[in-house]
Order: sequence, then C-alpha cells, then structure tokens
Amino acid sequence: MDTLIQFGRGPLFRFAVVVALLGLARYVVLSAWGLRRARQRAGDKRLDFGAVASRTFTVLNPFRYLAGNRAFYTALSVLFHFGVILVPIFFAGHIRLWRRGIGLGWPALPASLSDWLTLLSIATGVLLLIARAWYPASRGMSRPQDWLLPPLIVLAFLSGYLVAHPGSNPFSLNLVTLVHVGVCDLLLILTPFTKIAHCVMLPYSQYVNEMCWRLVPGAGQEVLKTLGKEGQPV
Amino acid sequence: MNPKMLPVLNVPVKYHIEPVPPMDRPRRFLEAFAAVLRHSNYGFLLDHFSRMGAKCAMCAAECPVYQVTASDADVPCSRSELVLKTYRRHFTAEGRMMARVLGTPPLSDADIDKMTEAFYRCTACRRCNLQCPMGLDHGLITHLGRYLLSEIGIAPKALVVSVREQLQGKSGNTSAIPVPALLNTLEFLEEDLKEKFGKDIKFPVDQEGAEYVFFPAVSDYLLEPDVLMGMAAVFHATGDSWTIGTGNFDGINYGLFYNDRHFEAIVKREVAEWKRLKAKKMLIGECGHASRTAKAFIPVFGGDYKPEVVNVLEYTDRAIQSGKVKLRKDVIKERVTYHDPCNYARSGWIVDQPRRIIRSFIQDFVEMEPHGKENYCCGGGGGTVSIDEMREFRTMVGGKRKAEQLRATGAHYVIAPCANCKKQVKEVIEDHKLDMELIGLHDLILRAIEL
Repeated sequence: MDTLIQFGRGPLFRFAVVVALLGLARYVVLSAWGLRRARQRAGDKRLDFGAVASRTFTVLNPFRYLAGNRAFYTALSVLFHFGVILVPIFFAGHIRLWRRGIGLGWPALPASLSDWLTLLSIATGVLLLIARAWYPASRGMSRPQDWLLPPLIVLAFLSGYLVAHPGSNPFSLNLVTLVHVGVCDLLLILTPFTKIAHCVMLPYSQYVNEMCWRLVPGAGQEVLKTLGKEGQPV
Repeated sequence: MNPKMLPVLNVPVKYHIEPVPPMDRPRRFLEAFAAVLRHSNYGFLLDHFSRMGAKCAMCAAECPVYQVTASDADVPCSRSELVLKTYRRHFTAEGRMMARVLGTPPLSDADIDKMTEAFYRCTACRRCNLQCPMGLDHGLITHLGRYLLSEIGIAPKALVVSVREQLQGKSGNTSAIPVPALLNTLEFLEEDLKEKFGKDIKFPVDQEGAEYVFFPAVSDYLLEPDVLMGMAAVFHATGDSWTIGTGNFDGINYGLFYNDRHFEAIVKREVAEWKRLKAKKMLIGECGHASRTAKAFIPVFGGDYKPEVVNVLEYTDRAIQSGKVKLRKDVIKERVTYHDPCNYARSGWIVDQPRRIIRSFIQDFVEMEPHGKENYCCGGGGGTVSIDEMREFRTMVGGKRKAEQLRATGAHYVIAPCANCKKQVKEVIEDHKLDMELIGLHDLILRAIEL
C-alpha cells in the first residue's frame, strides 16, 4: 500500500496535474481562438468589453442567485464552492507538500478554518446531491457525471479530513491516505473532461453569448446554396 | 422570493405546417445542421454550451412555462440538450467515438418530432438566462433549433405566410396592407386628430431627409389607431421631422423567430427604406421584437449603413423630460400597471423610460412583481402569439403566471406597449376572465397630451 501511496503522490499526481492544466489551458486557448474567429465573421464586430465584463461579474456573483427561485440550492452551492476552492489551495498540509515538491509555498488558512471548510464541503456536497435528486427538473436531466462528481468530491474531502485527524479516523491511515490521493488524482484527471472545466470557461460565457448573437451576414444565403435550395420561395 | 408553483397543467403544442415533400428527415436535418455550422458561428456556441451545462435546473425555476407544467420537456436546459446532443453525436470527434463505444442511436424522426414541439413551447423570453449560473443563453439555442427545423420545412404556417407576404408579396408587409389602404388610414387618422385637437397633425409620407423614418408593427395601422395618433401628437409637440415610407412601413421581423436568412432579408429591407428616404435615424414603434431586431441587428446585417435606432418610448420620454411634451395629470384616474416586453426589457434597454412617462401623468401606478429585466413573459413570445391554434397553451400555460401577476395588481389598465404582447395579454385577460383593459402607452398619452 505504501508503494501505491507513493505512486499516487508522485508520478500519478504529476500526471494528473499535467492533464488538468493542459486540458484547461486547451479550453482557454480554444475559447479565445473561437471568440476571435466568431468576431471576425460576425456582422457587428463592436464589442463593449467593459459592459460584457460587467455582465460576467454579475453572473459570477453567487449572491445574486439568492434572490431567485432556488435560493436554498444556491446557498448550498455557494457554501460548497467556498470549501472546494479554498481548502485544496490553502490547506497547510497541501502547501507543505508543494513546498517540498517544487519549493513554492504560500500563506495557509488557520487549521480550524480549514477543518470547518472541509466539513462544510462534505455536508453541502451531500445536500447538493440530495437536492439534485429531490428536484424533478434536475433529477430528470442529470447525467452520470452529475451523480458521480459530488460523491467523489465529498469522498476526497472526507478522506482528507480523516488523514489530517488520525484521532477521528476509524480506518487505517494508509487506507484513508490511499483513498484521498487516488480520488484527488482522479478528480484532477476528470477536470478537463467534465463540467469541472467551468472553473476556467465560465468567464467566457457572456462573451460567447454576445458574439454568437451577432449573426454572420450572408450565412443564411450560403446555407441555402450549400443545401441546393437557391431560388426557392419562402 | 419563491413563487408558489401553480397547479400543474399541461397542454400539447401543435401548429399548422405547410406540406413538405416526403423526405428522410433525420438526414435532411443533419445536412441543414452541417451547412449552418459551416457558415455561421453556432458551432463555437454549441462547443461552449456542451461543456458548461451543470444540469442544475436553476433555469427551470425561472421559466414561466415550467412553473405551470412541471414537465421535464419544459426545462430550458433539457430543451437545449435536444440540439446539443445531436451536435455532439454527429459533429464532434468525441461524440462520434462515444457513440460507437456506447451504441448511441443516431438522430431519429422521433427526436425531430420532439424538437418540433419543444422549440415552440419556449417563448424565447430568456428569463432562464437570469439564473443560469453558467451564463448559458437557452433562448439562443431555441433560436437555432427553430432555424434548423425551418430548413427542413418545419415552421409554423402563421409565421411563414407573414414572412412570405413581407418578402415576396405585393404589399411587402406582414398584414398585406396595400399602400392606398395605408394612405387612406393615415388620412382618416389625421381627420380624427383634427377633430380631437383642432389642429393639423400630420402623418408625413415619403418625406426625404427627415430626422426619423418610422417603422411600427404594421398591424398598428389596422388595430391600434390610438397608438399611432398618440405618436403623431408627440411629434407635433416636439416639432421634429419624421416620415412613414411607402416603400416599407413594417417593422415586424418574424425571421427573428424562425429563420436567420429571412431575418437578415427583412432587416436589410428596413435599411433600404431608410436609405431611400435619406433619413437620419430610424424610429421604431412600441413593438418589442421590431425594436430589438432593428436596434441589435441593423449593426449586424446593415453593412455600411447603420442608422441610429430609437424606440418611440425613448423618444417620448426625452420629449417629456425636456418639457416639449406636456401631459395632463387629471385624465387617467384608474389604477394602471405596466407589462415589460421581453425583447427590450430583458437587456435593460427599455425599462425606466416607460415608467418615467407613466409617472409623469398617472397617479395610481402599481408595478407587477417581478418587473423590469426580471419580468415574466406575456406567454406569447417568440412569435407564438401569431399562432392562433396555440391559444390554449399560450394563455393557460405560458400566460398563466402573467395572469396571476395582473390579478394581483388590481389594476384597471395594463399597459402593454409591444404589439405582440398586446394581442397576447388581451387573450390572457379574456381567457382568465380578468376585470381589466389592455392599452398601449401612446393610447393614454393621446388622452392626456396638451397641444
């Protein structure tokens, strides 16, 4: 089991990080390229970057959704994201590993705050899954990744908590460490292939909408020609 | 605030379609899809949306149709998935590979039948966009879905017939009003204005070099004389020059609702008439989609010609603010509420202007909740108001939330400026037996203006 743990923390982790970073970088580049191309073809190339950026920040503001019709679900999601974003980056144990591995470190969250955020992520992750199953509209259209990602994330946080708190851990430390490392590596690898990629793609959405509503002049006639329907009446 | 879910009611949507020759519909649909992807920017949109969907159904909670039907088919994200899954399965390497591995069936007739209904259950009000945490515009997917269907001959006959008359008919407008009938109508309205105000208030026709060339919803000439007279009275007060062009006097653009090719052609006809008359600006009437198609899409399709587009509510608001138009405050005593047309309220373009106008002369004004950018659609959006055979769905499903809002205001008048909203709200009032009257804003201005 030690060998597996070392593999998961070493080569597999490095592979997972590379897959995640390259995969996300690919989306960033493809999105920027796609926007550029869309703008070149669009009939109206003016783009008020400021106004679209303002809309982007409005959409990114999680608290605005509390005024909508699913305020409870929104609150769960906001709390979930706090832990999911802050703990992996600012947990002291992780920073120690980065410092050991690549010589880079940064300020850490206080241990008690990390603990609370971890427990919050676990609780809200479970509740989000229940909320997804309870609300008919989301239940009906959920895909395998929508059901599998929350439990994986919860498992990552739960195993991480148990690793950091041996006194609370009813299982063997090695087993829990292996689960934690394995699940986190899996989540990193899945990042560019699942909706987790929204972490880099979300800022593009308003620009995509803006440019894609600027339809391409003449496209309709070209479609007609391609389909061999030129000259056909309305 | 969470609205109470209304008692569940579902009504199927069927609409008349002109006969098409028998064909392999899935194959023709995919050919049309391939052609559209090749020549447009929709592929980029679909790539982004495919990756971003969280399937959280936040959109469903905001959709006025879903709030009534609670049907999976009316979840905006589910509806968009009809196009997205076809795109992934047939037009992406990843999708084709996964289809081989998982044995995913190709597009079928049943899928097309689902889209045929689904994309016209949507009013394209884009209320779902307000709450989508991923920023996805499901209205744009509805727009694309309808476009693809139209290229295989599936489009509501009501919309097709209107567009055909506008683009290929003798009259060149959706209501088939010939120019002599237009001129007669304008003469009649001028006589009416003379009787009312004792002044010569004109509807200038084919005046070159005017400040504004006017494009209302052409149905206003048939159905909304008071709106037109109200506008003419405002222009008389401001002294600005304006004109109606006999080459094209129809601001309606049903191409927005189902086909990009017609959409572009109709916008270009407006620009051509503006150019012919050498006007400085374009003035659009109270109609929502006519305003949006001109404002947002003349810059897209107008080529080198991009006239400034002003909505008449903006114009009148400025005229009142500058003191050129005065309205008597003692004329409208009844309680009034205001319905925000989605096509110009959702973007925030025309929200405050009508309210400033209303508050300048109406004492008892009450808002519907929600209103403004967060308004509920009248239920007839996306061109569905023109599809008479959809009335039951429109008023009892799509318009049910609006009926609840109207009832809650206790208002006597509901101002619905948009021509399409007017018809829909009238029908909502009738079918829900509401004790109120539908009116346009310039109708009330006509009653109150001091000349």
